[in-house]
Amino acid sequence: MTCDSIQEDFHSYHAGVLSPERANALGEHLRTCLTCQRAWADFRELDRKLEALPAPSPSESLRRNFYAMLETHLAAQREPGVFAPVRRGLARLRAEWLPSNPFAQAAGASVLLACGLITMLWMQTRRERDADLAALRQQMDAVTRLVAYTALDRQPASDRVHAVLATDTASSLGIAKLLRALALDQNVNVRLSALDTLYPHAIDPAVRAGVLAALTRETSPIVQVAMIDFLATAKATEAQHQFESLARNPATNSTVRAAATSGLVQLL
Amino acid sequence: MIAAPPELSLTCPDSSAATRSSSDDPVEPSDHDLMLAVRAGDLRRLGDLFERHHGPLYGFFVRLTADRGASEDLVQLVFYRILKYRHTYRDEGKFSAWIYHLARKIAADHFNSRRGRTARTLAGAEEPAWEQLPDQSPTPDARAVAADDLALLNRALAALPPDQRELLVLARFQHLSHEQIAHLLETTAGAVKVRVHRAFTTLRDRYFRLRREPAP
Repeated sequence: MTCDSIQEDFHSYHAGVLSPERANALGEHLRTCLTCQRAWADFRELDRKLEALPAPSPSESLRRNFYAMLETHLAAQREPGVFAPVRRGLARLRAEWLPSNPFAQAAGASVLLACGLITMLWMQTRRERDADLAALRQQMDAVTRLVAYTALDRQPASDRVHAVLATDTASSLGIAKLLRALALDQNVNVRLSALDTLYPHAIDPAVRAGVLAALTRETSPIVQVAMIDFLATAKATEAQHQFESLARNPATNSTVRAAATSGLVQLL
Repeated sequence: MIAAPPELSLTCPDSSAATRSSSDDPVEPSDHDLMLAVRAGDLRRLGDLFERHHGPLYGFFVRLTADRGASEDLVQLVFYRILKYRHTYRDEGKFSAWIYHLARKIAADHFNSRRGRTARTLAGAEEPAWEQLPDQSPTPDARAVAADDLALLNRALAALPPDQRELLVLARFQHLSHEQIAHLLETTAGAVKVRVHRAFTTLRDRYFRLRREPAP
């Protein structure tokens, strides 16, 4: 052992915390080393003088001020606020669970930040996926309806009647399809079925306008009579002029004229 | 050959009495137990900790700052912060390390707040001229104070670089072990041992140099 390492052990030896091996080595060294003997003597002299230095004593005001501060805190503790239990719970949670080491705190914060970022990305991806699914679903519905209405035109009359009766009248597209069938389908039964299906929507001005427009082009007396009944039942006053025209026209079928006259009575 | 000094064969003085008396007593609760009670809300137990530690803490601040008035305020501040930050105290049973950790921070704040006037900090500041430092001896007569051995030692101590003075105060006056100081300074016990030795050697040289100089 060198003299430096021996002298570095003086404090530990003096404090009684030096290991027995090192203490023995220190003693052996001191028996033969004049330099370290002088250093040890200086150390002991200086240590005695340090020991003799009077310990500074605080004034009584320090104690007084401390207990005044403590009383203030105790008074605040005795009169806790409404949120005191919550604050105490959070403080206990913080004391017992959160790490005190700054590196551990930084690591914990990093983990929380990473979790937050991952959650945000996951939620963003999920939102985009849900939006894509909703758009795809809408496109599928539109295609399904289009296929159904297209098939309506290519089916036999009996099938077209069934298709008309099964039309979804909740959508404006279904109503438009029915009005189109009423105006353009060549088969009387299909047109009558379309008119029957439109009855629940007789109060809709758009439906009444569609039926009135179809009436002006209609050539089948039986369909004309059904349309007149529809408009009269719906109190479609806008059909008055058409009813008068049909009633006064001598070329009109007599049954149609009678129905138009009866419809005028209902409207007026 | 000079015989080994007789002190070698004697029992080493109990230099850690101040810290051990509070924690080794089988009846009295340890500092750690008291602090756990304070943390749990039994604030009156802080009075026991105050009675145990305010004296050593006061000595710590006086020897660091050479300002008795300010040191009382700093001690008060330590206990205020213990109250304020009691929930951050951990169950590691190192109360002395924790309280001196707070004390060092408070001392550093104190020096920083006075940097403009005194240009002194705990570490890294220029060493003040020891001849200009206030003499802490209560003796009114300047000549008698200069001749007094303890006053010379006080002056040599006050003239140490701040980081060396702090180390000596912690090791020699506050009786903290090298391991405790190492924990406080975030270094190793071996490094603390070397630095304490160097600080002690510097103090010794300055003290003997002062003693050799003739009284003014």
